[in-house]
Amino acid sequence: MSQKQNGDKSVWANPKVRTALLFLSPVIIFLISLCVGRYIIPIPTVFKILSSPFFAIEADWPSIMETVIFNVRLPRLVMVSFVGASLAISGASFQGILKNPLVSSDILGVAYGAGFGAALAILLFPDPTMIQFFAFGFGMLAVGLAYMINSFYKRSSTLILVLSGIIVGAFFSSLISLAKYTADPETKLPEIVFWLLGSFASIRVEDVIQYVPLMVIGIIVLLLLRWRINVLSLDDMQAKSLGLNIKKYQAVIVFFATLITASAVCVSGIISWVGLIVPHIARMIVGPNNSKVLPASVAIGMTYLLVIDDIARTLVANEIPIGVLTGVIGAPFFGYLLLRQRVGWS
Amino acid sequence: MVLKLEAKNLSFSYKKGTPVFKDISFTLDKGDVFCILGQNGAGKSTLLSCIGRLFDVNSGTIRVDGQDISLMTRMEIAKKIGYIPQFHTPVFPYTVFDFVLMGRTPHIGALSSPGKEDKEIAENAITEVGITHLAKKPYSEISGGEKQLVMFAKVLAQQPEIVLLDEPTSHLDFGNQFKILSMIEDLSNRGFSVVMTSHFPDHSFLVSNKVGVMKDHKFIDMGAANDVITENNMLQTYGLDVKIVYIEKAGRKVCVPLKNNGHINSQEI
Repeated sequence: MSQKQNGDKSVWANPKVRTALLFLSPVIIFLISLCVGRYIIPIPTVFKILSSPFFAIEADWPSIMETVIFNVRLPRLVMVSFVGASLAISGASFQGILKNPLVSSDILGVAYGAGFGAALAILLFPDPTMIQFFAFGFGMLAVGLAYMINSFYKRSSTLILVLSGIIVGAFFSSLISLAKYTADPETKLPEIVFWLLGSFASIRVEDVIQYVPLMVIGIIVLLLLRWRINVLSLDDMQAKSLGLNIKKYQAVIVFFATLITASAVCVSGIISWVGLIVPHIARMIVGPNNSKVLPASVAIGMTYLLVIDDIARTLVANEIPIGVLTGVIGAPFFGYLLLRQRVGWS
Repeated sequence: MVLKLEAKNLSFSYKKGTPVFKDISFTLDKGDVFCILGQNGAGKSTLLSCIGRLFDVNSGTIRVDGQDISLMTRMEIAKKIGYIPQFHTPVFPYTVFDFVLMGRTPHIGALSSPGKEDKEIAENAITEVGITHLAKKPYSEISGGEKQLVMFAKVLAQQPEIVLLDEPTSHLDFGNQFKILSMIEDLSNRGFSVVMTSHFPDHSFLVSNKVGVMKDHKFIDMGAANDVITENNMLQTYGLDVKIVYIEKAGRKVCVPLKNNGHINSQEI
């Protein structure tokens, strides 16, 4: 395995080149993503349109292009980037503090809670604006419940926290089924099903203004705590003997990781796999140290979800739900990576 | 002069009515090595954890430099007391260097990452322990003896004044056991106070100047190794007939278990 890394004399083997590529990739993919779609816009035109609000550039493009860029693609792609980043960094943080490389951003039940919130809002209100609030609220509530169950145990451990999350997840997943069962199969049921599959098709500028700042705050807090997550990933006795108040740190990290996951889920629906595999891909590239894994997860999460979203938008005439594609493409891709390279954990 | 470590009437129980230990008292000076002996499950490790306040005692006080540790923050304690647990492999294969660097935690702010100075301290600790060649290796891929050395480097990077060692020589081969024991001697010579648990009475002759023997939740004897490691105490603690003899060529006493039958015992060696 290691001979592959050592024998590799390509530029990719140079860590500086690798880091540069890693952090440039979301920018490049973002620009390419602005061009592709049902309505293809050439890159020079994209640049011109993007700079037109700042510089006096003569508009030699049809106005529809401007509308597509500013009202449709730009908000959508910004949202896709930050949802990818949020799911990935919260997944990496959860894997660290729960000392378990198999957990993902929705391990504490946030996705099912949000799913039920959305389903409930669809059932109760004709107006779709309530969906996001309910999804966000119930997502946070689910994790709050998992945390509460965990705190009932005097000698709580990370394993009990994970189990509490699974309990709460199972509970809300049953409630989702109940909501589906009672929904009107002509109108409400398809709406619930499509919401659960996840989509960025209806992202508006307002969504970006509302949720991206929350995600940015959460991502910054987690990035600031990234080195501490290393220490928290040791066994509790060691983390304690190094002076950490484990419960306090765990609560802060769970809160911010949940905040950004709930923000992501409530605008885009349930997008699986990103929070699980992106941190692993990050570890394959930068090693297990969370000081590097967390920033790398942000970059890879953005790139990964942008690429998947491009495929969802362009592969067939009707947009494919992105929650389906992340698994369909992500799972085999991850399997391929596992075969090719050593993983960042044992 | 204020004592480095002073434990007074410590008691601890997980549930009501079943004490792990009670009324434990001892004191430690700078450079002292205190070795706690006792059967499996006698409560040695728990006592060690309580000294570092990884668990809170039910009653009694622990003072470090005269300061009650129940009134100190965890960070303050971590600057005074380091802890080396029994065997442990983290889930994620951090490099030896990254792992040793984590010893700097009590000196680094919550939202900060280790700086240049911290990295230098970690590097020095690795050099002092003599494992420079391991620095870039994953911690999960080195041998048991090497892991224990890495733990020592980590505790050196932490720069405490007291070091707690939970059975530092278990799981190690013959050679590595003595490497670790000389490491402990070295810690003591450099002014660290050490509290260790052990399963080997022999080891206390080698490194400790103070021994406590635990039985039925308390110390049945405590004092200098020569006074405490006696044939009678060993019989009481482990239910084992032992012979304690002075070996001139080694320059110290050793503790040899006999076959635990009366007739062999009477024949002598």
